[in-house]
Amino acid sequence: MTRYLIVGLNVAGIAAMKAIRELDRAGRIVAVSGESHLPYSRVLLPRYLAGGAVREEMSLEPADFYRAEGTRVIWGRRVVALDHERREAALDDGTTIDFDRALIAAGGSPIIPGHLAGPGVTGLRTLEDAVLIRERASAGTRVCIGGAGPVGVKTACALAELGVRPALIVASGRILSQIADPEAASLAQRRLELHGVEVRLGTDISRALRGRAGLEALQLSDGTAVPCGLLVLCKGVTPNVAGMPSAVHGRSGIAVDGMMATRMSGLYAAGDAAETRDLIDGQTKVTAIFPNAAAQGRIAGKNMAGATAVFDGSLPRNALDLLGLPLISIGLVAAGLDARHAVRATRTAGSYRKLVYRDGLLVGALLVGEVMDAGVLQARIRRNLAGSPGLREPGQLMGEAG
Amino acid sequence: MPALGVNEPACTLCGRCLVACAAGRAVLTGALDPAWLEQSLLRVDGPAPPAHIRLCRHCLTAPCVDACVARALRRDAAGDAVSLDSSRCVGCYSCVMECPFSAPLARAVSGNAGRGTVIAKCDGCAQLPEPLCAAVCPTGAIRAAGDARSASSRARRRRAVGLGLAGHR
Repeated sequence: MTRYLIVGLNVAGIAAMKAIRELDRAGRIVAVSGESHLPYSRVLLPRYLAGGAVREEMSLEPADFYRAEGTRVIWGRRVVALDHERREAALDDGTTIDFDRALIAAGGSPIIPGHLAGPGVTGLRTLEDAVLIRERASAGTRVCIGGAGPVGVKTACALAELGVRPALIVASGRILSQIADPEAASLAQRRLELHGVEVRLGTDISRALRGRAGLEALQLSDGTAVPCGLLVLCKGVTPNVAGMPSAVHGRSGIAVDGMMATRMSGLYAAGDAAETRDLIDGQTKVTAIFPNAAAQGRIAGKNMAGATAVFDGSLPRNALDLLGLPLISIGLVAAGLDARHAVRATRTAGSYRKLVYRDGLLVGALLVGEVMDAGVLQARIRRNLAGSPGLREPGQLMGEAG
Repeated sequence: MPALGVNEPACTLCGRCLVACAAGRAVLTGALDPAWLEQSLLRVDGPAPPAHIRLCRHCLTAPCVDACVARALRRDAAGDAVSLDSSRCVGCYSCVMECPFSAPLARAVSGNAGRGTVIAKCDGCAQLPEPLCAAVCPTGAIRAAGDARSASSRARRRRAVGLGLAGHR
């Protein structure tokens, strides 16, 4: 009987659990969940904050999923050390779990720089964060958001829906700078501003000014200060890798191969903690997006249970609903464009669409307003990147099991 | 549910599948509202062949299910169809970004905060022996055959996917 350990139980961990159960009914699965809530969809936190989703709707699986025979979930605990040689994990309550194969799927934590950390500063990664932000905002606290990536922008949209007027403080010269070009970013910004979001571009937060009542204002790098009672930092997440053997560490997360296996036998990683190859630039990095976590978790689970499945690599992509304006960004759309690339842009009253070609082949799509063919474009982009090792025929999209 | 196989080059854009889907479901659900004629769960994009048939293939490892942040899209309990619980759909466009067939269709909804648009897609005519679109297709562009999980069906669906993509480069 194989003993499986899943460290972290969210999208990736759940996908792995399903895959293992399907392939190895005799195995014993122990999962350690850092939170005590039923695992929920973190992507829905902005919507929860705006009151547009209720707790039950956020659950990734119903409660009985975690009570299946052969499965044990340890709630509200963290793995603090993983001893590969002894095949033993130590939890923060002093207990240990033995295993034959383990998956590191502990996700990431919001990046809160030391000079800002303290009362009145939070990320948006947990239900508690969302409740805190909603309560403070509803009570009239002035909320600022630091960072205008997809999470920051969705948080701004959520607060606007809640009827408060947040400020979005953006170090870059435009919002969504990683996934949008200046034209798309300006369309998105106009939509946010129309709904009462104040956008401050090209300025960073240098200090948190606190008084007796807690956070009172933010000192910005352009010399101005903005009143602020609650700062929500949305500047990305850092992989939760503490306690994991140093041999499996990559640049920031856990380094894995195409089978989601680390350098140590029997140890796998998936989701926001795992570093995989980026299909556009070939670099190994964390691509912390929901569909990656699901696919990687499933592939890791299959391999752990003795099957063979391969992850193609990460295609950066994002879909956003900006208060009724859809935006989808796939592959290479802004950063990294050079002379090898050609661009075809089309505009109508309600839409902006840009297709990016490398050596004549589609490698990026940025769609605002009219987005319904995005998946077909993604399939073409994947096919065009198929020169990359490990990428297979698009027909195998539906049956990756080997 | 029998699997749906799609062979786009065979489609002549006759549109019978659209009528069968919209009207058939209106009859089955008792909702005989003319508005349902707009509610077909597939689209055939022309204007001339080769057509692009925007119909859910009920993929075995479905990219839309992986990407659905609200768990509105799932493989159903029997594991042979991709089902949509539209009450859970939050209109995030993730499935639109993932589906290589552009099968998810946008439906406007009113009233719900933050849910201006939700997705509609083929339910596989789960209550019928054969999907209606396949039953009326005169050219075999849409076919229903075998069990979705059988090996032959799997291979056939892989071919169908390849054809679908090749027809729409």
